Parts: sequence; structure tokens; C-alpha cells
Amino acid sequence: VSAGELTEHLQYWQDDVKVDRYRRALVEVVRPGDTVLDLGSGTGLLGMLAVEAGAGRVLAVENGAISTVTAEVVERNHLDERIEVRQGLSTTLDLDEPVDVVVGDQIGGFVFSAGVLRFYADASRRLLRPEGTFVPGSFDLLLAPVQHQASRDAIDGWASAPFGYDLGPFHERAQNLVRYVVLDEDSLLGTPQACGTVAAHDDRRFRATLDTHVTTDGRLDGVAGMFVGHLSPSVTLSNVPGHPDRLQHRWQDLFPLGRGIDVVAGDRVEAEVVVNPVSYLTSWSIRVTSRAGHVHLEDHSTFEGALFDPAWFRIAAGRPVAIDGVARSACRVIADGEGAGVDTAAVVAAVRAEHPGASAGQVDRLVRSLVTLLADGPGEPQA
Amino acid sequence: VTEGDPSSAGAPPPGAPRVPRHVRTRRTGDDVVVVDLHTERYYGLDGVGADLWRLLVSGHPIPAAVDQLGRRYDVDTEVLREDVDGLVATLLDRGLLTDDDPGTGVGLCPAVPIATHLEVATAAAPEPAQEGSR
Repeated sequence: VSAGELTEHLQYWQDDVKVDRYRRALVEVVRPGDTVLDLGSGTGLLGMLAVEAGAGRVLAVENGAISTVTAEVVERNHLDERIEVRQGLSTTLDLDEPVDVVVGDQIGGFVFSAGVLRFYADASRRLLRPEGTFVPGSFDLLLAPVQHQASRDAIDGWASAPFGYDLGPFHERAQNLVRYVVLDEDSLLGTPQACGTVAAHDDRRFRATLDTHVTTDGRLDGVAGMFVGHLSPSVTLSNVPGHPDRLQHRWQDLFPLGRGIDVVAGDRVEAEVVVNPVSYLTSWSIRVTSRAGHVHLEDHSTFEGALFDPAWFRIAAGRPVAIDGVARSACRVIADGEGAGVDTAAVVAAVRAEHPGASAGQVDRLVRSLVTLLADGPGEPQA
Repeated sequence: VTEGDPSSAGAPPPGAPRVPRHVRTRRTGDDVVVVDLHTERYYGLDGVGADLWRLLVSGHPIPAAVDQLGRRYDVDTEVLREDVDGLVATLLDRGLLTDDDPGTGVGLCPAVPIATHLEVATAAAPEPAQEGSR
């Protein structure tokens, strides 16, 4: 457990808005004696609120090592008969009986970034009874044109050729990464626009679009994604600057422009953000049209920003061929195992049987990469 | 890609095959990996294929790309042209090249059959930000 991790969790306890909204929502949703799954339980905060709300039993699942300390906290507060802490991923969890309520807070800045949708989708399919309840149940997604100096510096710095060296390849990566930023109302160059609602247990690819006009002169650094989460029928939680239910410690996701564009009130900003909550592949396109008619258009994707192992893409080098079949087979074969103690050689053999054209060495490297990623979490990679 | 990218060697003539905007490119050493954002399928190219791709991405029309490759590789021009034509046909077939104009509209995936589950939000957007200095 790192110092930074502990500080992050302390902030959750000290976020009065978060605690108040989750407490109210759980009182509204949990019925006496309900079984509650606290998904990604961290220090156990939401599970304890569920007990306060009347839950008969809470299963607190947390993959991080912090779960061992949480178990101590549960015991010290004499809650160990009501709260069971388990270390591991919820996707590897099997329950004898489905739960009545799933509660979680892996909402990230734009819902998908902390992986909540795929974990909720899995919980919906396997762990929650059909008429059970998610807290939160759905999210309104919003996009807004923003100015953010620190992000601009973090991108432009790579283009400054320090000591005369051309760092262009890093500049290209830097502008193709989603940035987690903390925005205030003064960062907004236009009103955040609602662009859709996504159910918490729906992990399908989604597209959010923005078509708005700048309301404040400034430098457009990108488009920020944010949310309003519906914790229960009458309780909401948000990270939108200025929102009355705004979390005190929550970032927004910035989809940046490669270069800042000076804009004035009335300029038009259009954007499209497409997110796959499972693969994390994210693309965004931003088009700025000045009142004089000048157009600036940029297309970006995390594919162009992420650092990855070229071995993943050399399964069948030499001809254009989709490799997702091999990678997907490997994921499935690994997932079919017991999780811990994966027999890498057996997985390689099984994948090669399905893809005889792929070389043993390359499949071996791919499988080992996947096994390592699976061991480290937070979830299963999919190609 | 920014409109008017100075790295571009000039846009291919209208109707000539080009890399569509939703097909994105990464170098991995001497090889090239591309992804079709519509299908999320990844493709690998190496050798002459990777060199051809890099030329196409930088805006070279196919005849100019063949000239460049001919200077780079000791190969009969006709053989090279046939090989390139074959590869281009494959890339067109897989949607990694297109004859369509890329356009300047916003969006890389407007035509993608993404699930239409993103319903119109019912919650009101927050009040506009106060105008003022940043």
C-alpha cells in the first residue's frame, strides 16, 4: 500500500458530499436483511454505510492489498459478523446466492476510466439477482470545451526541442492520451452539454457527441468528459464543476487537442468521443469553427498514445491479418483456467491448436504478457 | 491529424486510394500496426508493406509511393507495381484504404454500428459557468 493510495482513500472518507449521497442512496435502496456486494471496496466505506442502512450481510471485494487492512478495520469495529472482506477481482468471484444490491464507486472521471462498466456488467450477469439494484444505476454523460494550462504544458513541452533534441515521437504520444484533470468553473469555455445516459451494467461501446458554442474567450485545450451519476431514484452525485452534488475529490477526463486553439465567444466546437469500456480503446475528434469560418480539425486515439509491447502485433507478421482472433483465444483459454497458477504451456498449446499458423514463440510471448497483466489487474485485457 | 498538417506530402488526387481517418497508425520499430476504429481490428505490416503504408499515410499517391519504393529496393519496377497493386487491393478490401474523400467533418466513427443504447439524457445540464477571467 503506497502513501499516495492511502491518501486517496482518506480523501474518500473526508469527502462529505460523497459520504452523504451514498448514505442517503443506500438508505433508500437497501431493505432490512439485504445482501450487498461492495464492489472494489477499498477501505470498506460503502460496505459500512450499507450496514448502517440495514444490510444483513456485506461482501466487500477488493483486489488491492489494502483489503487486508480493511479486514482489520472491520474487526476492530465489531462488524466482522456482517462484513466479509475478500481479496480478488469480482470477475473471479462465484457466489452460492446472488446479492440484492451492488454498490461501487469506480466511476473515474467519465465513468469508464476506472473500469466500472465492465465489472458492473459482469456482476449484473453473474452476481446480482435479476431484480436487484445497482448503486449507482446509471450515468448521464456530459462534454464541455475547456482550457487547462497544466495539460497544455504537458503536451507542448515535448514540442519545445529541449537542448536542441527533437522529441516529436513523445509529442505525438502525449496528445493521444486521455488526461485526468481537476477542473473548476473557470476552466469551462462553454456549458457542459448532456450527451447521453449509460446504464451502469452496460459495457458496450458508446459514442458521446458535443455541438456547442464557446461562451467565454480563451484557449481551447480540449474537451472534458464528466458525469452525473444516479445513485438511487432521488440521489445524484457528480464531478461537473459547479454541480450541487459535486464530489470534492474527483477529476474529469480531458480529451486533448494537440495544440491549443484561441477561441472567442460564439465559436463553434464539435466533438465526438467513442469509448470501449472493455478494451479501453478511446478515440476523439474535435472540430473548431471560428465565427470567421476557419476550421481546425484534429483526430486522436489512445491507440496512438499508449505504450505497448510490439510482440502483441507480430503474431502473423508479414501480411495484413487480424490478430484479435489469437489474442482473444488466449484471453478465453486463460479465463477458463482457475486464475491463479495458470499453466502457460497448456494455454500456448491450446491457442496454437486454434491458430496453427501462428508461431509458438510469438504465441508464448503473447500468452505470458496476458498472464502477467491478469495477475496485476485491474482486469482482463481484451484485444 | 490536423488539417493542413505540414508533414503531409500532399493529398492524393480525388478518387485515389487513401487511408481513411478512422484507420490509425503506429510504428513498432520497422513495422507498422494499424487499427480500424470501426471494427477494433488490428493489422500488422512489415517490410515493403510497412514502407508503402508510411508513404500512403504521409499523403503520397500510389504512383509516387511506387517510385519511392523503387528507389529504396533493388527490384524490377513492374514486379514492384504488381505487388503494390495486390497489396492495395487487399487493403481496400479490408477497408484500410478507401477511395472516399476523408472530409473535414467531426467524428471518426459516425457510421459505426455502435449500440444505440446511449439515450438522450433526462437530467438537466448544470447552469452555465460564470463568465470571467481564468
